[in-house]
Amino acid sequence: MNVSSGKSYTEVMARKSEIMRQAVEIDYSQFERGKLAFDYEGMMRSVAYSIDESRRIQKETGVGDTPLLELHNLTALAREVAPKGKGARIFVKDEAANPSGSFKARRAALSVYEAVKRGYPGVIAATSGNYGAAVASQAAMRGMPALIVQEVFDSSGQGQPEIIEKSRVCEAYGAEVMQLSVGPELFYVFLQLLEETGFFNASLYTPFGITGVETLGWEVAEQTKNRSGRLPDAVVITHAGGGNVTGTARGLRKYGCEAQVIGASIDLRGLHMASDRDFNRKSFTTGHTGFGLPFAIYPDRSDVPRNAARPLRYLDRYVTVTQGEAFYITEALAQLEGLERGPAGNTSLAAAVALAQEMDQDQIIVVQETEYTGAGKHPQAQLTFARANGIVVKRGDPRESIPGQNIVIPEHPAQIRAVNVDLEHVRQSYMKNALVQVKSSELTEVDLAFLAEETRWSRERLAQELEKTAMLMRATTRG
Amino acid sequence: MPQNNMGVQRAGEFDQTVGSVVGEPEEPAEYKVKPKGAQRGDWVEIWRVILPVGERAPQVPADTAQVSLEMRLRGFLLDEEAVLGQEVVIQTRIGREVEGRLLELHPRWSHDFGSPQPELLAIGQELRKIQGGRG
Repeated sequence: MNVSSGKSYTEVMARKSEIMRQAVEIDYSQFERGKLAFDYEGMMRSVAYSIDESRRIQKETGVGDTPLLELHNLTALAREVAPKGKGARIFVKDEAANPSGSFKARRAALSVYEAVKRGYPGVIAATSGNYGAAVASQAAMRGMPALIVQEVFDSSGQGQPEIIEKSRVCEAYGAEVMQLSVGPELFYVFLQLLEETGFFNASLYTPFGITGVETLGWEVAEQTKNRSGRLPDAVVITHAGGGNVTGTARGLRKYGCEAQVIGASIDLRGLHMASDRDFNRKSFTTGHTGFGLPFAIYPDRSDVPRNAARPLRYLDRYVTVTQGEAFYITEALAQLEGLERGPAGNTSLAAAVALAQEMDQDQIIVVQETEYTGAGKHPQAQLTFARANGIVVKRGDPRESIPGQNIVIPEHPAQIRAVNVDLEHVRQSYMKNALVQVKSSELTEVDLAFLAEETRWSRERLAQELEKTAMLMRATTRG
Repeated sequence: MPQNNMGVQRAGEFDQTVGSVVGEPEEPAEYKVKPKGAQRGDWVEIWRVILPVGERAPQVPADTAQVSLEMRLRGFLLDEEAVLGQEVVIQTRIGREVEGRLLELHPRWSHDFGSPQPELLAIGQELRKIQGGRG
């Protein structure tokens, strides 16, 4: 056990770097460059695995090689409402077929493998999502104890049915499940548990957590090619912390697939993620803008010093759908395709039904995940809970949606829209955040090259944006 | 009183003290004969305040700052006997020993599939109608 001292919030947070270093055994400092840059590809190369190695490790525990299904009836439905000649073929990668029921098994497979290899006595993960079940399941397979820390309930003791199901399933796999009330101090509890147990931090954001998803992108390209003779034209990825987008896109590129990478999140703008009151006024606990935007703007806010998920580097387009649209599509997937899957995984499917209508009929759009469904993780359970929390549930035009106030279930598939998020604006926010730490005049050549890669801006454009941001920040300081 | 003779004797005892189980078949009989007290080895849930009001992180929004950060955890009771609300120690599934107040004996997962939602029930037939009148 490690030596620890004070237990107050500030005392524990002050030991953050040291605790995290011991809990993943990656010396992140060796990748630091310039004033704010780091050698991202160098980190991925030296720490993580190749596609072949990742696939071999995942195969050991039955992860991956999930079916790619063509959704003929949803494609036909999209064509009914699309302009003439439009309506790409929609495929879905049935990731619910993984051992723990979601693509997160891919990330957990590598993390738990790594924990065993490095001789840690157990694994720990802070997650209220499918990743907890994935870590617990993989840990069970490799005979390792797992501790999952979840944000579950509000101050009245009430928890969302979706998260409660995730607690239950972790416990079913033999994990200890620590349930916490609302608040970012989950991280503080997490750090204390790392100190106490000496377990491996199975973070979603280590290089292992990301390369685990590369196999998904690779399989999407490979299976689409084998099945239809062509590579996908677009791949839609539910976006939250950025690992799904980053890993899938890297896998696609490694295969040689240049498909457009489209992120999709549930629009929850206006709800505060750390608010006790707002906590139970949302029906989606992940895959939403409450994670999607902050993690794009400030990826290194995660539980490791350098986040291997860098979504802005890979997103060609970023769209939102509403909670009501995702519930509608979940129902449609069950009724038209005979696939009952969890709503959160269907976020990208809702977007795909709208995006397919912009594409030609011979093109292919792939939705790269589904997730398992069950008690709690089900539209009926979630809408029942929403109503009990004062949310108005009604049929209508999703444009009338106000997160936290209502859930509007479309009356017709033509009402489903993928609303563009302005990625340029997100990049500008990223820049503003970066310049809080370092003055633009202090940036070195290596920093500029790094920022250009992070934002995908040309050096000329970067220079303009830097000047604009610096000016803005000076004005704010003066004001 | 012997506690290990689970068969006939426990069933008879149960009939006398609690009454008929008809209509509530899901609750194991041995849970009902000790409705208030928990005993060593029982599966229980504990509760604890981790950060009281005033010690929460500086960045939490106002509504969250006004409530404490709480924990709930399930495990096997290590105390010989305990009643709800008492400070106890449990052993978790992975063998950690953790202290807290006894919140629940035999905690159950009560999430379900919710009530039928009229807004969802209509969708299937609507979609089949759009796809060629099969609804």
